[in-house]
Amino acid sequence: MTKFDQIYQNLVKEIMTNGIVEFSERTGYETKAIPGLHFSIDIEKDGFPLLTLRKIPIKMFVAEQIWFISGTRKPEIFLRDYTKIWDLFTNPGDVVTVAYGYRWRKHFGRDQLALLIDLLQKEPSSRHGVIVTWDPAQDGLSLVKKKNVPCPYTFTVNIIGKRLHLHNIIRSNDVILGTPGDVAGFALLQCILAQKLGVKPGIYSHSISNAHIYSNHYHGAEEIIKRKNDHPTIRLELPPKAFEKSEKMDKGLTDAIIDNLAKQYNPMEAITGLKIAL
Amino acid sequence: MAIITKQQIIEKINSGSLLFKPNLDQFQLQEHSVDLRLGFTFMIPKMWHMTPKGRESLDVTHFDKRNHEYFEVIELEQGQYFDLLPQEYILVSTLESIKMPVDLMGVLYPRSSTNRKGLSLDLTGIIDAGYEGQLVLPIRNNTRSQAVRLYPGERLCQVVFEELKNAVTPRPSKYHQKDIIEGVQTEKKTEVELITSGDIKKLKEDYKI
Repeated sequence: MTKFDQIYQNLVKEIMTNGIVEFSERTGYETKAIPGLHFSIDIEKDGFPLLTLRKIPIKMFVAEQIWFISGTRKPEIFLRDYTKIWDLFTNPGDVVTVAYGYRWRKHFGRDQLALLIDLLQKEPSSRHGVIVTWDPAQDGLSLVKKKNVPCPYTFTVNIIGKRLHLHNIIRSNDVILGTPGDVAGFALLQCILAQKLGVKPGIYSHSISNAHIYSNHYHGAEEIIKRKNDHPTIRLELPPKAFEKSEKMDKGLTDAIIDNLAKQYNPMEAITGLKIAL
Repeated sequence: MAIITKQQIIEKINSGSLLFKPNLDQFQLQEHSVDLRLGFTFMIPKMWHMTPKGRESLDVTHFDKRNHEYFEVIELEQGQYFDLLPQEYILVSTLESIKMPVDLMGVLYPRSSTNRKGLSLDLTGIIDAGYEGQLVLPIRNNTRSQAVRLYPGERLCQVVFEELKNAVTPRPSKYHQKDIIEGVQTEKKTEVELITSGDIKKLKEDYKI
């Protein structure tokens, strides 16, 4: 088992054992939930955090992250060639209104991602590397339901000890279906930013305000807790200029990252019957 | 040139040479035109922004740089509406993306109901043969005191299709398959340099047809 497998297994065990049973008005499902859950993993030391205890679709999170970096809000541009995951969240004009990359780069009138890189190039010790996805003028705090509001709603990037660390803050995480993809996707972003800034990727931190498992995923959670394997550590090797190529939604880059991960990836069998609770 | 009628429009759609996404519905197809619906994207021109120096007016030079930050973009959710204020001028889009065949051009007009509400849909003109994408429509509320409530999905404009004498081989335009929020795209560098230097004579001499 990889280091991330151990962390994830403990997380699932913790929620299944000590989670508080709640009923979600929005989804109509029971959940077990833990407030304020946090873990960190050292990407340089412990490898790339891609879950091997069940199969995670690699092209989904890779393409999604590249689509984010490009600042696009329409899945028909690039993303749909790889995954349809965002199709559930489009408006009738086929736009993901809260598309994370669009929020990072365009929505607030500042290109937060470009400014972050510029800042850390000029002042690597800066503690102001904060990127916000949540728009307080229209997200949340309302009984009017939007199709989607950002779950990973902000992250910070720090260079400490010549390594780049990313801290991802998630208001709500479906630990069975959401967490593994979110971790891998943001760890990829971290690696791409580190490469762009000429440093190694360091600690990836993941803090969840409401970490929960849906009742229709309990069987999957029990299965994950039981599983064991001897999967070796996964090391991501990025092609050069990954950030610039991501901005252009380069399919060669996308396929190269997918291939690099896929050739090292021998996950245990998929757990069937895990449906998303909307 | 001849304007094609309902039956020919249907034939071109069925053969796949003319494409609307989402598909047209019964309300949209007229005897010799197609009504297009209002999209969910509203772009409000900004006049200023904050810079490290303070509040600065936006230097709106459109043809030589990217300008998506010149607009505040509002993307409505299903069920939301947009009040267009008196005298306000914004950019909207059609709900439909259109794919034009190479032997047809489109001419876009406001619907008369749009005019009657006091709105002007500035003549947005020609849809080139071979164009693919949404259409951007500048819209203005000409009334002095009435806000006009716009619902995404309402029919706003109409397009008339004219057959070209010969099919053309169009090069993709700079707006081809682009998200409309990217704003006004830059012109070709060679042309921009000649325009900003004011050397129109050279432009005419060097780029004769």
